[in-house]
Amino acid sequence: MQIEKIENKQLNEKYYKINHPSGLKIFVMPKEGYSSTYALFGTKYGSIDNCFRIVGEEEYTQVPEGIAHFLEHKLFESEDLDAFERYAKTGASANAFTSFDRTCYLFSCSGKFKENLEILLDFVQSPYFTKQTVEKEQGIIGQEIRMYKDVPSWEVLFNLLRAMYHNHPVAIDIAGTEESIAQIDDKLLYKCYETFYNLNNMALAVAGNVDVDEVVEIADRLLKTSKKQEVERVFKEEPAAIVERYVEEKLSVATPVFNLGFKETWNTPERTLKEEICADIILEIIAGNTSFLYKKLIDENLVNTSFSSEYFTGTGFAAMLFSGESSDPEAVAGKIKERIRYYKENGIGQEDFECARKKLYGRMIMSFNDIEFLADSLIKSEFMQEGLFDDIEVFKNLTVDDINNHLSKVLDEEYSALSVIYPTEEE
Amino acid sequence: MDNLKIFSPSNGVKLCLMPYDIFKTSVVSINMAMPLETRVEERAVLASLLRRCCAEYDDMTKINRKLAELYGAVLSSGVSKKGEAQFVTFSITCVDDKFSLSDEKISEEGMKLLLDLIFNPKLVNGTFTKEDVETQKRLLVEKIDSEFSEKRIYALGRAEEEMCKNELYATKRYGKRERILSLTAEDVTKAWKEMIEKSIIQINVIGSNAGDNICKEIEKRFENIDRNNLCEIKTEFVVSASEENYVSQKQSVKQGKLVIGLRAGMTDKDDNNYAIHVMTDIFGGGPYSKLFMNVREKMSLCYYCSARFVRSKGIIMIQSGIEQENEEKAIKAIRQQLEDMKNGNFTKDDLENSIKSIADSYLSLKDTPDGIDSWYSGQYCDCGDEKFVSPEEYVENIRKVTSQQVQAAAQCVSIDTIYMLKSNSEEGEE
Repeated sequence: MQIEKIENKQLNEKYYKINHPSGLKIFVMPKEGYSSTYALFGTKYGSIDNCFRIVGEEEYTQVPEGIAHFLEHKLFESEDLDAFERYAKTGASANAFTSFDRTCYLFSCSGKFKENLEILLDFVQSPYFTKQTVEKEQGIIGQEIRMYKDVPSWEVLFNLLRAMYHNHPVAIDIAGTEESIAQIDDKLLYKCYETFYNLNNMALAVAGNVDVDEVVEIADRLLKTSKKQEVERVFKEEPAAIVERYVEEKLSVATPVFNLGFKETWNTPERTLKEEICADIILEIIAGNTSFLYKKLIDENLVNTSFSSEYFTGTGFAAMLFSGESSDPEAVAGKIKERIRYYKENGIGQEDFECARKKLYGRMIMSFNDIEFLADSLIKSEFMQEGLFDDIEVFKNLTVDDINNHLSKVLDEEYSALSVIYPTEEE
Repeated sequence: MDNLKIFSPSNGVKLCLMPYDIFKTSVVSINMAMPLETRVEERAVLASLLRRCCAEYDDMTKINRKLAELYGAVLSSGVSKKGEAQFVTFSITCVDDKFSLSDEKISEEGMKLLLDLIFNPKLVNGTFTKEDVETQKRLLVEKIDSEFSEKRIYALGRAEEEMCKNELYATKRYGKRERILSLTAEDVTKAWKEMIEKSIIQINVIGSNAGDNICKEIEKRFENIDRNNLCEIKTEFVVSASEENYVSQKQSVKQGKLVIGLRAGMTDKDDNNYAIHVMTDIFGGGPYSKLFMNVREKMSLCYYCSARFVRSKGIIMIQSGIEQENEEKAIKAIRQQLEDMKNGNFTKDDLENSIKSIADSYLSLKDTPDGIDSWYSGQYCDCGDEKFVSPEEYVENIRKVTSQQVQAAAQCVSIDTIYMLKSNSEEGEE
């Protein structure tokens, strides 16, 4: 078994990468002086993976929306003690989350690390689904889905995604719908589990108060070698065009909430680190709190401090998003587009570029304080085939020409859509 | 904590230096506390106004540019409520100088900027400008409005307001919307002077730059400020509910939001604090708690159902999101779990699990600068010159709590207010 040490002198940080014989990639990042440890066990499987087959199988399996998230909830259960009851005995705080393309199980603890890692590795490798337990969960997840229906920032985003994407499953709710989860049964859960919870499709990251040898010892003991298999995911072809330019809904809000998105179409399903950093710098320059646009929108009473932007991307989808609250979302969208046109015509200048780069570079260094962020980034970069320290090199080598070149390929008005939540009449 | 050094740069000001070398940043936070009684709205405006500009950087964009040049230093300000005190907090986080690309003194400059914001604001003829104040009033009012849009937060706020309607605690952290709208630049200027003269102040410095020389820099800032008439902060504790209130309200929501407010039986923030903390955790803390195991897992009534102990006011707040047709069922189930606590129907394991969980998470706090900062912030305003309590000391006391103490604590708890936010259409659908 090979243990590779990856170091960055400038940051004074290091981590270990282990290709475990079981098929699992393991990352261990010891942080001197820390008292707690954070561990994340993840699979490259999320809400968008709804049609798939293991290479060699004859037929594709189509599963109900929300099943990855449902599976995440159910994996905590077992024939005797469920995972939460086991963690209760150690004092760790445990959780899990499902995103568009990942499902991760995690714990953080300041003591009894070995026991906690044993619980994590054991329960994620031990599915136990029955008809009764599946039915019980439908009620709980039904309430989770309803809870999000009352969260305007969530609704406005998914309305936007549905306005931008014709076929890509990023537009469906991560938890599915009350109807779709009613179709989930134990057999389907096992099918998804066998397909995606293969250690070759997974990664484990541990950061904080930890020693690489203790992780390897537990992994050797508890990991069950997975057979090599290749999963083929099927996504319907997504056209470059958006579905509709404008979409609105009414909810009990005080001020209208908006999301403006610019859909991107690329030849490859995933964005490189450099492309993501270019996108972040462009958004910072156009709409960050040092920008001309931000000041103008605040001064003209068009937005408040909730105004922000983000690069939203994953397997097969990418979009730049602007969001906030405004009494006049259409006017805000107009001003954003005007400013984008300005930069496209005049280019981004050296000074703005340096300022944004310095800011994001500093923020990246700050993130190395945070073991939760680090473990999460290790998993993400493994699924993206990148390394944790690659950011620094990208930041160093980036030029203003790279930024202007990237800008010319993105933020195309033709592929933009606006989603608004307006207050219901009585408010 | 062994590496906590405390100085008194001025009357009613404590400077806490916490030299840590495990982080890549340094954090300076300034916490100013005053009673939640007068000029609450002015100080809420001040929190964002002072963050927006100062004498040297006289508009928002200039300050933000400066921060970007300081390698993305994070400057934030906020308003919070702890017991019946309003806290106005300013903080800055800077990366350590060793990461600068051309030998800049990032932390020193960051600290100076933070102090300038508070002590050297942008004044024209001795007052804030009307224009700046008006902008901040609008932004603050919109912040209040956006809390209306987040129904879980809104419901919790409404329940506290109903429960404490005859106490100062009913005041929201930003105060009243209408009063904010009526403020003038002179009102805000007056409140600024009052705040730097009379508030109880704690300054935390966390990181590798927490050297003793900082004390001088801070002393200088207070040199010409008259701090002889400090405010007094105290919180009214209502030991038990006189009767149970039920309040419901209708809005167009898809899911009902249930909040139950309890009186914890305390006469002050130290009264039986540890036992009540453990009791609340067994009852409605983590996924091992009675509320989670029964109301969610056994009965499938909700996705979340938990209880939170608000030590600074001696209350416990239970929150859950449910179908409104299940309201009675859920309330009954929650009452049953509380009765079980009072009757001692919990196991030795339940007690041990809670203690372990509290201990584990408190002992992790010092792995983030924010964790350390929020743990110590406000302790001075709370305890005056008494000793600061470290997470380790707190945990020691938590570990001493017995089953009998937990049961006794539960017996002192009483339901004060049940609040339910309902849908205004029949089935919860529009």
